[in-house]
Amino acid sequence: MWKPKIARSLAGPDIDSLHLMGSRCGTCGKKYFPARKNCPHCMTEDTIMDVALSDAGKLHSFVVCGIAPPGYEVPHVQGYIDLDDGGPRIFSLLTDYNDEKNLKVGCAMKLTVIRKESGTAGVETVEYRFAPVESKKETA
Amino acid sequence: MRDTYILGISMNRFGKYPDSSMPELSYGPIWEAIRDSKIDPHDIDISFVGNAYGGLITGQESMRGQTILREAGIFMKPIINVENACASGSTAFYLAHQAVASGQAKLALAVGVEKLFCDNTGKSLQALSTSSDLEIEGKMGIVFAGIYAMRLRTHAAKYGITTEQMAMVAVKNHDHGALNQHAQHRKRFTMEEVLASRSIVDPITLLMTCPLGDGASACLIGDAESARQMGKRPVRISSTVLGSFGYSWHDSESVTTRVAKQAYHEAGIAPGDIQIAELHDAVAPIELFLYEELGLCEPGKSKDLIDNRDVWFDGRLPINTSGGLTAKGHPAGATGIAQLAEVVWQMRGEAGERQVHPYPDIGMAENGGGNVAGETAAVAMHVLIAE
Ligand SMILES: [Zn+2]
Repeated sequence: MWKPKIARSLAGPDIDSLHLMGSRCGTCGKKYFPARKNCPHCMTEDTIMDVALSDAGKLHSFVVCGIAPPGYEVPHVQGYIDLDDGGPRIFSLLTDYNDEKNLKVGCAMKLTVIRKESGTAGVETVEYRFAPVESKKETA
Repeated sequence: MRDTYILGISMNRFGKYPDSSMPELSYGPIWEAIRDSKIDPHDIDISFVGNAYGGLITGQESMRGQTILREAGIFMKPIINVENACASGSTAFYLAHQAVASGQAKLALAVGVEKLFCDNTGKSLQALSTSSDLEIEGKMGIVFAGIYAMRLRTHAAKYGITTEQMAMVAVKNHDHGALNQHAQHRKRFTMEEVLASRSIVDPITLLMTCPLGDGASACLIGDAESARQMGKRPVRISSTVLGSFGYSWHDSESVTTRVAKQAYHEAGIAPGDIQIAELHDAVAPIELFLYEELGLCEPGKSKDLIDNRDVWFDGRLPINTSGGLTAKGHPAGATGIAQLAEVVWQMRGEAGERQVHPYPDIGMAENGGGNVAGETAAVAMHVLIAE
């Protein structure tokens, strides 16, 4: 069993093949993350539908923070990703970059799902992160 | 809708008041505003009390306004508790203006107060972090300083703004704070000192951030007749606009820009008419971004305002002559009305060593708070015109 930390943010047939979940409005074409019940531009529920968002995108902006909320590690690296296929710009923590030099505005990013114990037996919490597609280790 | 005026306005010196409760902090500013107004306090028809975090810090919930006005001795008439993140004070002001403008009230009181210091700094920081959507962005692990840093980094890369120029905004606000007896920080710093202070989140350093603080502010709003009787220079509320986050679509207009355009339009002025402004510098260099969002300069030209020293109190377009949030301090709920106090004092020639000459006639204050869906949750902007 699995449960997304943020409601309606991740979906998929099983925990090993999760994708980002969002909504698309059939009238105005706008996409939202996480998925929602209506289109706030068109103010209707009639034309909104759950869709899989692209698991790839470009890094719009990022920052390495020396401070982090309780329960998160330092450095705390956060960024905005412009999802491919006309997806929305989403906030994400960044992971698996190996070296900060691998993070560049505009660089290609991909979804990484992380799993944590939920506190309930048999249920894992899943969260999304983004990692650079190219993440070479600094050679000594 | 009839014209409304700021009659009396006041604030205490922001800072650390471990022995004062929120009612005690508010008492002085409320009564100074009453005396400044030359009104009979029995005539106050309605009160709005803005506060953001008092419930989390002190445990007093659901009727903090009543506890504050009990101490002040104001009772019987409607008391409305106002909560809108760091824009709580200016939201109380907005509502007090609406009450008088609509004819519902002849005299309305707006109070802003915050007590952020307690025996546990972690508790204070935790309280501040609740000004995001805890079910969504809160669970994404957002760090507020990081959000500001990303905005700055993107903007700086686009327009070639240097870290030195960013630091100079903090230098300016500390220069002003040194001249303001109401400021929490009253010490000047050099650009080198700002840059050498502890890094919070690149490019933001400690001396560019606002301190944790306690404080209160209060304001009485009345009609033209009350303004004439008050005896000081009448300051009319030309427009007051409150806006909320939008679902931003990549480079669509920000809530701040939307609110500003409406505020200028309702006041019948252009941004170029503004002679003094108090802006929400939650971190000092974000001011550069705000100059552009608010139309105070062309896109990419904000750095020129700093380089030319236009935005110092003796410059062409004085901004945050109070010291801004950076130096004056930022007891969240008290900030909005404190910003207005500075504009009014400058218009009346009561700003002491930091007085702008000639006294400004057209001014504005912009106050924001919270974060939702990647945007500021609430933004208030007020245009004041002195007669
Ligand atoms: Zn739509």
